[in-house]
Amino acid sequence: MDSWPETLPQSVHIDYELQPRSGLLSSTEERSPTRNRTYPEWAATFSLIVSTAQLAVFRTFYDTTINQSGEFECPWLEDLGFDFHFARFLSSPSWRVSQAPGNWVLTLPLEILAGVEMDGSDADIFPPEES
Amino acid sequence: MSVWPAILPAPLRAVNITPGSKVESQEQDSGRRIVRNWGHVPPDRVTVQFRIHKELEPEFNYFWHRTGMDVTWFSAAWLTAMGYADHKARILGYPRRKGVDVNWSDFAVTLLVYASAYCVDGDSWPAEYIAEES
Repeated sequence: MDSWPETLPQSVHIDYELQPRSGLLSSTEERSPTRNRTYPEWAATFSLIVSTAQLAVFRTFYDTTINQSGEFECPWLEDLGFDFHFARFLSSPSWRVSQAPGNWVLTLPLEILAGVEMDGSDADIFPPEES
Repeated sequence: MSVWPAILPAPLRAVNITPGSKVESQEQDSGRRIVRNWGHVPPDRVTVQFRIHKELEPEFNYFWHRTGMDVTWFSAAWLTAMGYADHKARILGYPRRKGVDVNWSDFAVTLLVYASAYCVDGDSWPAEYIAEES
């Protein structure tokens, strides 16, 4: 699996938002909700500040390395409590001019997917009856 | 290919860029997404704002509409400064005017920008087509 480039920011500078995607057949069903999945993916939006040179690195990573659609490992996910997780783009990223000259605010709409832990530790993603 | 006229200003610093996506996403009944790539990379969408004086507004309208800049590709120095070293651009849709005061107004413009790395041969057909017609 590809990794987030080392020359780009390794942590989230500005802000982020997280929300689990629906694990139900219909998330608005009132009377008899049917569970589809135990642990649905998370929809997240991360914002970073990058320079113009770093933006070119990100562009190469997005267009060539992961070919706009591949999964990749994010270094900041573990700090946010997502061990053994990886990410994928939910939609196109976008960037806008920052207040600081020569910098851009890069917005990443990501989908956080659960991986499989390989070191035998307990996974936090399963409820007690399944672990 | 035409060039952005020198008498018109560069856009304000409110620039938003979304790269073209060739990704087709399909959501399964289980909620998972299946993602596949389709076709060439479409051009980037660059949203810019021009602050234009009312005396210069006829020039702006003339150059984006009457000279065919909404269908023909052009190049601009401020796009080079934005990171598009070799590019071609055209206006998507119509500019939206928002008044600032009596004299000045902001024109919000969405541009389609092809970086040279993704230019496909024959993409500049509107300019050639118009040249042959006239």
